[in-house]
Amino acid sequence: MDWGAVFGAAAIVPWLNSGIRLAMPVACAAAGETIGQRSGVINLGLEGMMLGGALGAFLLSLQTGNTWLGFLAAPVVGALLALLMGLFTIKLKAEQVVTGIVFVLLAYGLSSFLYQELFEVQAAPPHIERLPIVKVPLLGDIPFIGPILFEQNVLVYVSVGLIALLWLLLFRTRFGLAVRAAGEAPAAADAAGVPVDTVRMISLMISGAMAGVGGALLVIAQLGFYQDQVTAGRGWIAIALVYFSRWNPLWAAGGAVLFGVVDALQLRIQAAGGGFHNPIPFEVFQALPYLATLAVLLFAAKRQRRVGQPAALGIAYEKEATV
Amino acid sequence: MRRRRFAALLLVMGLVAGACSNSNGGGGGQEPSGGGEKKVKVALILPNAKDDFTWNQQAYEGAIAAEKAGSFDLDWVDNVGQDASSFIPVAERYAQEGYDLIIAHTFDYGEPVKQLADQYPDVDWAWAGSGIPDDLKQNVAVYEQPFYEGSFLAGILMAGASKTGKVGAIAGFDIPACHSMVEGFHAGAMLFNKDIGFEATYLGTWFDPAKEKEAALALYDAGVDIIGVCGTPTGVIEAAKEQNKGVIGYVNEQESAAPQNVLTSVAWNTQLTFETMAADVADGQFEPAKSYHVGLADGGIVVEPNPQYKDPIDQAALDLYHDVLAKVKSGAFEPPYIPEGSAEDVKVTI
Repeated sequence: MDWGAVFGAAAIVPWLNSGIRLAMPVACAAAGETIGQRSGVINLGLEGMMLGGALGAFLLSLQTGNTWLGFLAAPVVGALLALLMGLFTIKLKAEQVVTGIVFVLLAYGLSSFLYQELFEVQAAPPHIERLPIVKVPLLGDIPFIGPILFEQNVLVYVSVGLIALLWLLLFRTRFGLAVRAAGEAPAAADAAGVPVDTVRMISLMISGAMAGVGGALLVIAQLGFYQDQVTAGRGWIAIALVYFSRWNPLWAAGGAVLFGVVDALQLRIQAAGGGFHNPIPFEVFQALPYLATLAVLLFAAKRQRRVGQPAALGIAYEKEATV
Repeated sequence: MRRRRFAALLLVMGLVAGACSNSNGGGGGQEPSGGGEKKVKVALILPNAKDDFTWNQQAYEGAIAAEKAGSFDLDWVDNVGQDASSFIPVAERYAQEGYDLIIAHTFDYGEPVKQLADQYPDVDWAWAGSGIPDDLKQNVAVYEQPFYEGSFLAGILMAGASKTGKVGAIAGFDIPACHSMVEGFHAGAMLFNKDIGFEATYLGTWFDPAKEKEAALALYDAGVDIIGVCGTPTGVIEAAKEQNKGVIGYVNEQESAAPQNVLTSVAWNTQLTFETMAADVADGQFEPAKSYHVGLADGGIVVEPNPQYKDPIDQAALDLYHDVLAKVKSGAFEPPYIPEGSAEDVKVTI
């Protein structure tokens, strides 16, 4: 085992770069899910909305030949799926967990069906032009930190910006206050004049849009092609991160980055002979990102005194019946 | 309110039912054409999408080619799911509709197939397992995936084309079919160059192209310049194109995806495998249960060097490749099957 190949000066930059690539799709989805849950709505359909965003962005990019335009399809498809879901969970008060799972199944089936209808079975997937890697002037020249943080795909900067905006929205605006009130005490919020269902619907749509962006990252920043179930379960990891991060979008995104970085690390340990020439079963490596993220976020949660879970999470708000 | 909730649930269920029935078997299911002699009716059940560029796609294309060649009548269904509870109702429908041979195209279908074989003794069943399990039924066959034979040949070519003296592999899971394939690459590479470096990564997933790409980039960064695959190769091929490195196609011939970078493919001729089984059904030779091993010697596995590959392949490696291939075809040599452990502990002489 050659540890220099993993932790050597030349190896750290590609490792952390790989970690950021693995992290960002989950980070976007997790930050979005936080807003939804803060308003009291569990969006278990996240995986489906990521998939929808990925396929939407891919199709529009391929159709128009313009990947930037295609990217815009991702939040739109994600938000529309969320709107549809909201009609059931918010308007019709359907059970949120069941509806969420149904939406994932729906997205799996629909995306597979659509792709098969549109494309013949062929030897290689059709490709789109990927969005470029952009080096930020000046900051990109900082030794070591520059190539890790400021020489990324342009969508990574977009995602980081969106996540920061979400945090501001949630904790520094009137709307954010309404979101948190709708999730903690919807009846009180209602009495104070907050339109609970509308606030919840907007929050749910934001979470869908962010999931769509996360899915699109995979396709138009990293792969350049779409493949059936390309999101590979990332939506579920994002939901878990929301719980472990105690409903804070920045912590959730941070958890995703930790997860991605450790995942990249275990791949690099395996590639440098760590998985192959020693008796440690490879399952240990695969478990590493989960274990590390769990440990750090649990530790963080323990230090935080309050539980953080919105009191009305998962409970549809029904106004008192007027006789 | 209660009625409203019920309505919502109904709506949601309707949506899902719609999506599911649409995703299955889009273009299949033609009625067998009348006239001529009665052909064997084959049903192919695929766990995932038929256009996955790997396992499912190869079986789909092989079965369609066999149907076009007139070898059997076919119905197929894809995206059924890996679990028994999804598989059983689909398989039962085919059994009740009078299909002669039902091909269950994943190792995971083994247990439900054995269960259904008792329930439907007049139907012949085949599943993608390995070896002959002790509890195999009279009417259940196993068709093997002898990828290790092909990967041994590909390993020779990898060692002959590597510029860094280090090659590697990426596999989905550490199951015998993949482990033996990975160690096949390793053993083949060592046969040509006993000092060759070799690294392998096990991912823990079959379908995650973005993660596969990261795993490939990690191997390339570690000095590996040609990667063999047991799983989904699209992400690895993408990394190879991006870095201008080498990759081995898996199951399908994937040279066209990156003509400069795909050194060769360990291609699986499922058409031949399925036709062999269907012919036995027609002749009444299918029972009792057996294991179908349609490998390199029969043309069930095909490995051919890609002349467009970016680097020249060492002539001595090509000679060794032809020599080994000829010996396998004549029965004088069998590539090593290494389902666990390392190829370094296995002595191979030809």
